Amino acid sequence: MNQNLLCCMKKDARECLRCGRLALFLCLMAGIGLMIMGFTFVFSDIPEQLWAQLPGFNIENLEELVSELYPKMLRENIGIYSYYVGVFFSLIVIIVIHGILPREEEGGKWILPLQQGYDVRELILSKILVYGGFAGCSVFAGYLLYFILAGSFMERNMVFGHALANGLVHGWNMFVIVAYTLLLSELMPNPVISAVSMIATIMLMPDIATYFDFGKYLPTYPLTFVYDSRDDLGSLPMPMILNVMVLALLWIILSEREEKRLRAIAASGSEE
Amino acid sequence: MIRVQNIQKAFGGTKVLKGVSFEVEPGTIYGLIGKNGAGKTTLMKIMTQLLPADGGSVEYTDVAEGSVGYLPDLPGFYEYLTTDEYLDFLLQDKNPIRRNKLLETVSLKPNLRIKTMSRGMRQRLGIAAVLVSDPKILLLDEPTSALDPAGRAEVRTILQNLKKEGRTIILSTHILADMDSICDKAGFLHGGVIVREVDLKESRKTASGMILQFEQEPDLKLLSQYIKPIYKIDPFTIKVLIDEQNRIESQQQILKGLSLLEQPVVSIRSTCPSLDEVFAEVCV
Repeated sequence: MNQNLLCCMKKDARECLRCGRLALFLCLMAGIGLMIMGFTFVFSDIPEQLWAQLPGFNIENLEELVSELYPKMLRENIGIYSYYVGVFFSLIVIIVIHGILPREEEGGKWILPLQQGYDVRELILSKILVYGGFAGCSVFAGYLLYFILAGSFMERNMVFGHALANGLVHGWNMFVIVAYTLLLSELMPNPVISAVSMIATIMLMPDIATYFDFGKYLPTYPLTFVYDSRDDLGSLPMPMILNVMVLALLWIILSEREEKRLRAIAASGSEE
Repeated sequence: MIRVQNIQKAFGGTKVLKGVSFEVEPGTIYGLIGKNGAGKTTLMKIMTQLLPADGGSVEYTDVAEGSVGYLPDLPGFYEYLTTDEYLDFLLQDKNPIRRNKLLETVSLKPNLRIKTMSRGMRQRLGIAAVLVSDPKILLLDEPTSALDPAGRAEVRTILQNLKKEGRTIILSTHILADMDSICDKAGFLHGGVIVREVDLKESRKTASGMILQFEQEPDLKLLSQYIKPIYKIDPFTIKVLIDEQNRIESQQQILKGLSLLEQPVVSIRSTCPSLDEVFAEVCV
């Protein structure tokens, strides 16, 4: 890895730690985990308590509803947790990071580093790797922790290897979401538009895509994969490769645009 | 040597620079003076190739490529880093000795969080950041603006030390007192061109004005019929400028005016014109 990129990553890691963003990521994971576990505890007892208080009350439908919302089986329950992480964690992360790069550029923070030999591409790539890495690792760690804690009181119908694989996939999902958000915030004229489009995609696409056969080839499929706690890992390479390709394409477009901008300035300078 | 020739730049239909030309000798400090919106920052950005010019040229002779450092008026810093971490980042973690020397040059301590630093300290850190690549030419955009007197004095000292090291500095500021004390030459940018250049080094040597102190408050209306221009310093003291081209005639005219005024003069002393006076004359 080149020295410039390493220095940028060191700087961004310090930013992420000192501005409390990593702490925010971890707190979010813990908060969502506690919420789902708490709801599972509280709500799963409600039908039985109702039946005890009101004998003869038909609790079958309610039981069905509760078990659907907060299942007591680990595999299904961790799927719900993944869904909440996919929606709420992504939402907060997108809101927090969508303005970082445009703010840095507009605030003139890039002028001095660029003068000292840094490249805009290195500055952007470092942000993606560090923020995506921290978000992804938080999700991975949170997922495994949830698996261990929830497994201590729920019915275990999921093996550790399965949880490990799904944790990795969900970590990857978060890395990709961060990467898209950061790249689009620089490519689109307004970072708020990029944030709104990302949030809309994450909220709607996984649900819509499940209705169609081709849904499993779309970049949002890895989200659906963990929401459903699936274990057919063979279905993942295609959408993951597609994600990498789209990210690479965005990266090339952004790099070309920056190159063009710098070339234009340099050319007009030499003509003088 | 820096040679700026006929630089032109328009934004939309507005021509900001209409043919700016000037030259800067190596190892000197050149001051760019102008009102807000005169085009000082635009000119600096063109000189550092951050902005393309519509026409004209900037020539740096006897200077290696990349040896020009530019400090914008509001440099952005990574607030969560400390002074040494920021300089290490700019130095690509390669030279801790140089980092310490840079901090020493601008009198800053290491381990100081940028977020907690005053504006003066940030400005000094900006100067250190520009010096990372050891440029021979420095372009500083308003390095003393919004600083308190102590902060301005610190920056002035740093700039004088940099000049002693043989660096060429071009700086813009609207605090003319700073220019007066450290610049060797100043150019007045007005209406998109350099309307006047003042060789401050020379004018410090030759007195070009007189300060007259009266016993009673003088009648300025009457006095201005004979002596022009007049600057009132306080009710009893005025300053008059001497036309350097016709020095003797100019001095005789002043004495003639004083004799006709019939007001006793307590003291007469020579002085050189301040940039404020020249600014008022050419830019207002």
